[in-house]
Amino acid sequence: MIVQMHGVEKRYGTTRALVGADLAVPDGAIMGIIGPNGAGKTTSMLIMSTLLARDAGMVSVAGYDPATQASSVRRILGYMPDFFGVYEGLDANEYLDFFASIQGVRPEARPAVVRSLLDLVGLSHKSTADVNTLSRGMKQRLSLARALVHDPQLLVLDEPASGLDPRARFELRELIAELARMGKTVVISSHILSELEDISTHLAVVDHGKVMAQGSLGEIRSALTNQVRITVRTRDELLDAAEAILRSDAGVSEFRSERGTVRFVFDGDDEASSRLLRRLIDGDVPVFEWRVETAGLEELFLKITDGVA
Amino acid sequence: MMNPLASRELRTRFRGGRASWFVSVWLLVAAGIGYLTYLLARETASSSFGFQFGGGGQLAASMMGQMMFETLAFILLTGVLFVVPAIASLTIVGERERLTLQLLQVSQLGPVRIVFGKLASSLAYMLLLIVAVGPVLAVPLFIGGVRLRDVFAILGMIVAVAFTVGSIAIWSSARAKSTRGAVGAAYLWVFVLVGMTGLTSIGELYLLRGDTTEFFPANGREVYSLLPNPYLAMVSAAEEPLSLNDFQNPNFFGTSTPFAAVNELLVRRQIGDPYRAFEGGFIEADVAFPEPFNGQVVQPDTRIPQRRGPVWVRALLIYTIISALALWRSSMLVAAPASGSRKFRLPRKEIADAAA
Repeated sequence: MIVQMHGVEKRYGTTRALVGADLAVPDGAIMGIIGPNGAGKTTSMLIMSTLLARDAGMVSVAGYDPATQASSVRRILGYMPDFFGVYEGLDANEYLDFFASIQGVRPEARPAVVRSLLDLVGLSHKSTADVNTLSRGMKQRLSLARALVHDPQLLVLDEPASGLDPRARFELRELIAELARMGKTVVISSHILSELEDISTHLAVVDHGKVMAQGSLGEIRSALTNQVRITVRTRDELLDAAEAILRSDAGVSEFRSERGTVRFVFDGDDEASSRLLRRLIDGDVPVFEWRVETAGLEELFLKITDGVA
Repeated sequence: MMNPLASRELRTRFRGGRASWFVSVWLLVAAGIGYLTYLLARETASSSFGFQFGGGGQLAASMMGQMMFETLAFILLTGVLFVVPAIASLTIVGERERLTLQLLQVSQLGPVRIVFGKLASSLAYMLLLIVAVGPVLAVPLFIGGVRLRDVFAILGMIVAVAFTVGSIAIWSSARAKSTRGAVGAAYLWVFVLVGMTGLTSIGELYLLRGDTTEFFPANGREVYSLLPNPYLAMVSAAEEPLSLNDFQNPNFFGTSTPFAAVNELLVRRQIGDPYRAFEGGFIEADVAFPEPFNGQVVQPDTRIPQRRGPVWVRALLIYTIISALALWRSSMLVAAPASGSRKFRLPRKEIADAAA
């Protein structure tokens, strides 16, 4: 685990931002932290990025404590906040060169580093453009390049896609996937669930300062529920027969049928749903389509955070 | 190697026309003041010595050179006290408002390098302005009455004051939540350094006067509250006392330059008798005027303590302490994660519930 948080607490005045938060980020993972605004996502990220002191609990980043070994953590961590941070009068080249210099990159190595990063984020053609004139999507990509200037092992990205148009979001997603392929561990937060669903290998659901669930999407799903939605298409005149077979299974509920299509919720694992399909076929009900829909991130999120107050 | 923060700030500050315009205006103003001072000094020298300047009066030229230099130094120090807080107080709070402070904090730059980078970039600009007026300051050197050593001493003290005021302004900037607050706080501290020391000294003088009928103490005791005062520090840095040539007119309100007024008010009164030398201190009238003038003979005052160190040394010590404290506090405020935050712990039961 490259990042470990255990029982972390943080309070701003009378507001508890984190209440005993536990988080574990495996090496090489893309860990998506999801949660509504004010859930504690940014606070968690600030603490692991050495920018905020925790009030209690344990935090380790690559074996270092961000509170007491901040310099060691900063060497292996690239942080991208949810804002751009503009310096007036600098072009993209100079902007990255400046951040490379404050990250301790040797002067003779800087031009090559800057060139390759601009290449990576697709901004080579904007290298001499004033950073103020770049579009929001470009600024976000430049921010990502800024976080990468010292070739960190771990990237912490706070709401990187916030305010981007669909194309810019897609480009950023591709870029993050590329970074994961390069072996970087990425911790990324968002309150837009679909964004993280597509890109994350692991997820942590944060709400009211607590990590409610974490793991791979499959692990979270199976930990919460075995329920799937199944749609079966057959002959219209055989709907009653199909209904009789399906209803006889204890795992079937919320049954609905219309014009050759049956929809229901099935509570059982893959083996059980396979047996159900076999019973339909054995009952002489031709199955033209058998579609299994697992619970989406949104559904899981609502289930996890339901009743938390 | 130059601090990367200072290097970037200087590069962007001097890019574009704004900086060159400001430097040009600064130079024009300095040259204009220099010329006006020259005219004033020439007039004063002519009337004081009863002959027209140009007639070979070495003393008149000397007085003229001194007057010009004193006025320019006074204006330069005043400029520093106005410009440095304005520049330095915007540095760290500016990063905070631009949302770039976190990016610096999470870098390999430690808080000390961030603070010193900001200070260096602010002072570098001021140093440029000071160096730029060098030619104007050189004019009194050619006229006479001013030693090169004193020019460097005065400029050195101005730089020391700039460093101190810059450090205070950086601290104000690190503490502030808005640029307005930072600028206001910086100027408030400058007022404390200049104005409050002056006002406090009046109370101190009152306490020191003893049973004499004069307001100013006649026993040569120092006015301690004035020691941090930048004008006093600058005056005391000169080996050859400034504005002590006005023997015919010892009342400071009657002196002809603002520097002379400060000198009279802040320095000469400390020794009680302006006609007496102060050994071990900063006033040695016999250095300035080795020969008796107008029939008055300068005699050392034996009542004055002999082993008192020069005022400028003590002023520098005070400035060093103020700067060190301000920069240390600034570093603490810029450090991340913020140190010294109050710890809190939830009751164990709540932690257990949260974990459950």
